[in-house]
Amino acid sequence: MIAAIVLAAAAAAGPLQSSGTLPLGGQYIVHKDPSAATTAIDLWYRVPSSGYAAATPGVARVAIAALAASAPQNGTSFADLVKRDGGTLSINVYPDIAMIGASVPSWEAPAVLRAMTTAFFSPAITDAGFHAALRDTAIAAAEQQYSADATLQNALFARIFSGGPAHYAAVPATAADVTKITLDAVRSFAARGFRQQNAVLSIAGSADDKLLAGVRTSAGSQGNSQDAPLDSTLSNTPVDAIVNGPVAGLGIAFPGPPIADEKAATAMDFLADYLFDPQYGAINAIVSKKSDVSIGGQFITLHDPGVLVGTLSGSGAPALRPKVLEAVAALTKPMDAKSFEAARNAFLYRILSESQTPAGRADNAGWYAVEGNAQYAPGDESKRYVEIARSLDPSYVASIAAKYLQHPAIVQLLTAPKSGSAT
Amino acid sequence: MKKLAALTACVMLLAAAPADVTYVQQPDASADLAGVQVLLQAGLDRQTSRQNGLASLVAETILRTPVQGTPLEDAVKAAGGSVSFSSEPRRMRFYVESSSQAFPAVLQLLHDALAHPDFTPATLADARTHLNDLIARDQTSALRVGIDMLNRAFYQNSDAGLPRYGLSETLAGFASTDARAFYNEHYRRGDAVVSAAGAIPAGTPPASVVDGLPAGTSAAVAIKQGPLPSTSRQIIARRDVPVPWLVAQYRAPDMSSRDFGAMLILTEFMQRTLSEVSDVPGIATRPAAQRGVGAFYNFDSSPANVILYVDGGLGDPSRAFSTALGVVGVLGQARLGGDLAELKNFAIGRLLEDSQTLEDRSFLAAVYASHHLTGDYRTELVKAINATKPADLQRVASRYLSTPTIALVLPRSQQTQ
Repeated sequence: MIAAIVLAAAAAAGPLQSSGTLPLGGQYIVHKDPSAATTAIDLWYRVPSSGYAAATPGVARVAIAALAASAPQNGTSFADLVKRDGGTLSINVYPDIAMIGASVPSWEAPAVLRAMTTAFFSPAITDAGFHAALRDTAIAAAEQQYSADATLQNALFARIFSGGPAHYAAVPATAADVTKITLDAVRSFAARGFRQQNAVLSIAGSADDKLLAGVRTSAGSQGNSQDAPLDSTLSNTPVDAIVNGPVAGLGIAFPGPPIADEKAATAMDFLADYLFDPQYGAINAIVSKKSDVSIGGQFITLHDPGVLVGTLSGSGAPALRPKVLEAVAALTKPMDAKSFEAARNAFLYRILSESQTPAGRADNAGWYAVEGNAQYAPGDESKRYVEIARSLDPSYVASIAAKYLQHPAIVQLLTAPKSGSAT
Repeated sequence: MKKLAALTACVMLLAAAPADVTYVQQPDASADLAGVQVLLQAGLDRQTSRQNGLASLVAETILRTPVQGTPLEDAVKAAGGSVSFSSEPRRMRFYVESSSQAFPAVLQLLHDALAHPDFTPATLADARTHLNDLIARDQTSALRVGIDMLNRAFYQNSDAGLPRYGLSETLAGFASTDARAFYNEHYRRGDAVVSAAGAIPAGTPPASVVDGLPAGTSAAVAIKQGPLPSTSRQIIARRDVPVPWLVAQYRAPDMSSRDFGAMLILTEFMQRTLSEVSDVPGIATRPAAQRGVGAFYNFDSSPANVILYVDGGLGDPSRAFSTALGVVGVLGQARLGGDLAELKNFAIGRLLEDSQTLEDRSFLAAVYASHHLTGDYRTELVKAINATKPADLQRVASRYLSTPTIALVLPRSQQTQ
């Protein structure tokens, strides 16, 4: 037995979740976790990853990294501040949104929030910060070439969307492409996109009521409200393509419902999990244990439309195409009640697992808010997502599969030196 | 200096635990999930060398034991949770996690399988097949191969350093009677530690998960093994790995030592130094799985040890390692001027960052509780780090970090110099 009784967790004072508008515009969401020792602080923006004229692939990635790496005169860059105290800095850029996140010990949160909002609400990019960001993005581009998952998703999105931000990869295809991005283009992009009014500030973990007072405000020069969601245009052309890459793979995608259609979007989440969970998914069951194929997939909940993407990477992946399509087609028939209940329970557990840390919860809340439906976030205190997931039944899920999973977009990734072609 | 008052102490002892079970709980009102660690004294040190793999075979059999007609692992998954085991030198660790709603049912499933494992030949064969897959997977992980090699030489008073899943050859020889005998001897409630975290529903006492086990305690199998039959502290193996890896191990102070805080700082310092020397530079923090270098402190083990590793995919691993050793050597020779605030802040930050999941939180609380300390690991870790002085750092670097044992894991085709 333990000899000593230690302090019990302090009961949370007041509500655990709050949200609202920052003084000069922009949203905030705070999820308090009184038992956490860390605080996760994210800033999310609606920005097109290839620039407002779609002419500068990678500009959002370079801009957000440059702001993080730019040190004020006689000061410390935001990135160095976070890392100096053992924190974790995250940068994620998607076709239509971008985020910078920091997870730090709770006592550092006020200083980190001040530094983050200073750096991002009054964008000032130094030469050194710009060059550090170019180098960082070039490394990301080089690494992406060796990721079958990223290559397949980029190839699928480029084909199923004929226009809009999702047509372009968030990280340029090669390091050489990154060097074409100019400092002027980055500064101009940052000034337009990284305005306080266009931001969603998502905080989770240890946080007191005074924390938000540390937000540095800036009126900004262009626009005084949040930009509209950046939707992309679906192509009407069937997609069945072969591309070359350093590793073999198979990618499959289905455009789905918008984030506003919550029940259908949740059903698509369930279907993606049921098919592509790397350990327990239906696709995993058809892959030989001795093969080198690894599996990934998800329904990407975008504003409109979302996209279900599944990827198989490894030399044996292209040959699995018929079996994968067969597994997808089987979902249009309702599952038996017992199997469905087990699959739904497993799905809900995995969804809830994703937001068990402060960083996971801030990420989750920020994504759904910036895509236009904050209350639908699985970690939201309204529990709307969880209730919808629990309400799913075999017939409804089969009807969603029948509606959205009929016309797959397919990309095969081959290592043989063939020229790229689309059929 | 850290503001200790800002750190929430969050572990408490519940009176509801059986009298002979060590139990700690970290309630979390904001969590959606609940998780429970069950630490049993049934790990690798309970095996003789002829029993290599038996501890894992018993644990794997428990995961495959039918409960209410379905193997435990599948039943937990179908209820909305997960269950796993970790075969460790000094203990067997089960972890079960689920949504708060499913938690009572999931806990009962683990309870039933622990109390009534199915050692029939069919279930045993199923478990053996799965373990053989895990053994094959471990052989393709250079870090795992290196750690296994080092552990074999490190633990000299028991077989705690045997491969965690055994060998296919030894597994093939175990019958139901062997598994049953191991279970009967070592699955005891009296030395169990149960640690829960998260949204634990009222009326579900997690410590009850072990009340189906018999009372009493288990004892380690004592053996006497000599040191390596060589003056060289370098072990070499060849495996099907694409690039060479260097893995080094140092003996380290345990948690009750006055050197503990200094070693926590030094481990994080070595991790950072290795990253700066040889990892891919970047503005954002790389996830642990993407890092080519690392350092971790197994302070929960006995004896404690520190592991460093360098992935040769980033260049010659011995160069990065030599640089890190050189920096540590300097620390051991000369006292740092001023205070250690920056190093301490960094070490505390990394420790907190790396212990956020319910599984990590419940594990650390269990480790502290099992060492008869309070389960409030956060306060204890921060206190140990903050108490460290420059002289401590110099002493600990000099005492522990001068003579590593090194494992080189080379691609099969590569020759040693």
